[in-house]
Amino acid sequence: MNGLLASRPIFLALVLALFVGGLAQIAYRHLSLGVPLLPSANRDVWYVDAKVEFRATGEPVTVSLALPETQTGFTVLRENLVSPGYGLSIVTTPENRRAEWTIAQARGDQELYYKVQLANDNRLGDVGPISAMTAETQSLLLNDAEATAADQVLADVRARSTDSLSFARQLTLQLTSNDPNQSIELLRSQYDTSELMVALLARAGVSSRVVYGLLLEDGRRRQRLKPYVHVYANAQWTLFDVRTGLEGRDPQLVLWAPSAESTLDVVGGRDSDLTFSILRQEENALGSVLTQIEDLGFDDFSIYQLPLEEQALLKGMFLIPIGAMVVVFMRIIVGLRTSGTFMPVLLAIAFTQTDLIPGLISFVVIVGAGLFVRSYLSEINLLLVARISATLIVVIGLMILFTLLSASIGLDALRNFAFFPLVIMSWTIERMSVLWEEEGPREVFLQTTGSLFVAVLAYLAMTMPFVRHMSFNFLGLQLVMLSLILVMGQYTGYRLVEVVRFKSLAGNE
Amino acid sequence: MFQLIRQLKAHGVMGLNQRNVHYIGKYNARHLYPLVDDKLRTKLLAHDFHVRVPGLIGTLNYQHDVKSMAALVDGQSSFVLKPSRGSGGRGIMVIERIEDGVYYKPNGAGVTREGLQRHASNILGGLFSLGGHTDVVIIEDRVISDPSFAHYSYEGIPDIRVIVFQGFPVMAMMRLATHESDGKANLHQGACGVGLNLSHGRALTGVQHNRTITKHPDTHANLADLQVKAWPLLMALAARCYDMTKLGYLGVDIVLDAEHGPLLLELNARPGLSIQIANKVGLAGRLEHIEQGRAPKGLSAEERAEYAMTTLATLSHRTKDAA
Repeated sequence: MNGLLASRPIFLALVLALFVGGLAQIAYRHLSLGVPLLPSANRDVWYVDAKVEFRATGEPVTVSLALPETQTGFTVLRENLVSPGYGLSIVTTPENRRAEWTIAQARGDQELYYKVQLANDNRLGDVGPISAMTAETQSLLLNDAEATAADQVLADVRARSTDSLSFARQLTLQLTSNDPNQSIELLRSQYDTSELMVALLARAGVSSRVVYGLLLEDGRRRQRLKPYVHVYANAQWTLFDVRTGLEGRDPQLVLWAPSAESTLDVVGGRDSDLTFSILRQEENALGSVLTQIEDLGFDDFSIYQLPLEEQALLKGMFLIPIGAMVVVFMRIIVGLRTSGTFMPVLLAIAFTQTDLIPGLISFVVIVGAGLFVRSYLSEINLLLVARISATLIVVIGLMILFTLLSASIGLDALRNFAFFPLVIMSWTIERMSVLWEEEGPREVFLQTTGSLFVAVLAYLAMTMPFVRHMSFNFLGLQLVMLSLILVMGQYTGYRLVEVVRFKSLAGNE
Repeated sequence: MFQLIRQLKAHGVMGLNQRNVHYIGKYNARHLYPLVDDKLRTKLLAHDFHVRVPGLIGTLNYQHDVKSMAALVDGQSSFVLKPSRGSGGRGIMVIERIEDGVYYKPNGAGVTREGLQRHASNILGGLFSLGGHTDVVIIEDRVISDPSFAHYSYEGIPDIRVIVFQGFPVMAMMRLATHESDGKANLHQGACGVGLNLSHGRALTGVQHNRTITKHPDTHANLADLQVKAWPLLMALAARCYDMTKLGYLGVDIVLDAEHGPLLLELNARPGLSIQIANKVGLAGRLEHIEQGRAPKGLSAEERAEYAMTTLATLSHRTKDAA
């Protein structure tokens, strides 16, 4: 250990090499490949990978997937189908477009990709081809009891509405109510809410249809299409979310399959599944990256050629060192006490999934309740492993409880408890509880606020568009950060809090 | 701010980063830590090096040993149960007297034999040890604090923390338990620290929660009158702990027993920095003096203690003092 590598000049040379190497990589990519340093104000381009998985049975296979079209807010830029050995075609009919994969024989697990780039063009009011689609005409076949219930619901809704749109609005509220009446409950137990809503609207003479949409969020993997109800009223289509009861279209929602036809048809296979990975890029960066790959035939790191699912994973991973650097700085230079070294980074990652304020509330609620339960566990003497495992199960229970509670009182934002890393939460509770017993509530308060403060800083750093852009497009930044962390690791000066702590020693004697 | 940092530097105040990187990282080899983290190992090692410690009555290693505890302690008039790897004073049970099969704690509360066995069993189960590992119970003689300290501690026994650097005692402080610290001697728990003059063990200033105090907050005894007896003996004991562990940067906790004089209580490989506040002086001056090789080499523990009392005690701040 104390050999050549540990000597000071070698250490400094290593740090310098990392720092300069990182900067050089950034400069190279910027100057000769033209990747911009700042996230441009240009429109966003969403990379969406649709992944079809199924198990082929050995017979001829035909896979047909509904495709999105240029629509209000989104323009389809480029698309392609990836699937070795399959015949490919895009079939366009007046109603919609579908991708078709065909193969004479296949056996075992199959993976097919449809990759599309959608540009956010923010052109609102553009109607697009969607309005040409027809409304659903066929209705659900209701039995007598259900028909009675349906008529009751419709009469009830009619009494509260003036036109087709307000009718649809009131019906959505009834169908998504947390405290439904008996008729609604009966119908909801039998049918999918979106189909039920379309059927009820048809019964009342209002045109509507089920559409499938994908909410675009940067870096998401394994997402699924969700059904929405499109209602035709006052000569235009209005979108209703049958899970939240909200009206109107989220600007980041892409209508994927604007028809009731099945989104995915697989003939000759079973256990089919359709998932989506989503990544955001600025168009400028994208343009140059594409040029690079085409012009040079290679890229210095071919991250952009990986499937989007892996790209999204990497994009998240590249942000972790940013959080780590914030922690190192706050602990070594500032001297804040945090509970657990990297707990704040993990919290910050959870916050990127839950958003900051709901995340903070969820964390405080779970840890607070966990501490309360843990105080009982400390009365019955348990060994550490058993105690943490018990805490773990209690935390799971609390997460379920709070998720249900917040859902039933309609606090949607707080539904994301599950994003918190379970084991970390359990350890946090365990450590806080021991700290409470040994050092008192003051120390617990100090360390919790310290951890949360650092986590919030890390979160803010990790969600800055500039930082996200830099960390994904310039791998050299990782080397620069490594060198900075190595340097901070050798800092022997005062921590900022120590200057206050030792203030009494500074007086002239 | 920068003015303040400059002044702290000029006064040789050491920060945690410097302690960790420059002293603990450099002078304390990792493999030596178990010697001090395990109090039983420290105790056995102390016997080999003729460092005096509270007498060992016995140990309990396994749950089934708990039943044999009565045979060990019943001849004693008083004793202490403690976890070998405990921290912050947790899990220590002091028994002052035994009457009619009931064990009495210093505050007068009685404990049955079953209660005592349950406590020992909890220690063995790891309830009080760092990380919850299974532990060993140490049963040792109860230290009877020197009567000269009677007015300076509220519950609990006052102890003396000495920082020993490469075998030289460099700074000392007395830690007095208070009502607020619940009988414990840790400063951040509210105990009060009293800096001690290195040359003769007389009190310098007292601090509690980083504030200067002149009287003990509970007993109201005047801290300035505090004088530690047998000081040269105590300094030599602290110096010997370096020969015993080879840890270059070491915190030595010593108690003064009424009958046996200075006894080693425990060692610490990561001693805190509050001692600087209690002494109103930074550690860096004395540490650098030794690091720069100004102290003579090859001295015995007694000679190093003597050097500390005569030379180190008179050093002011750092050697390369700023104007």
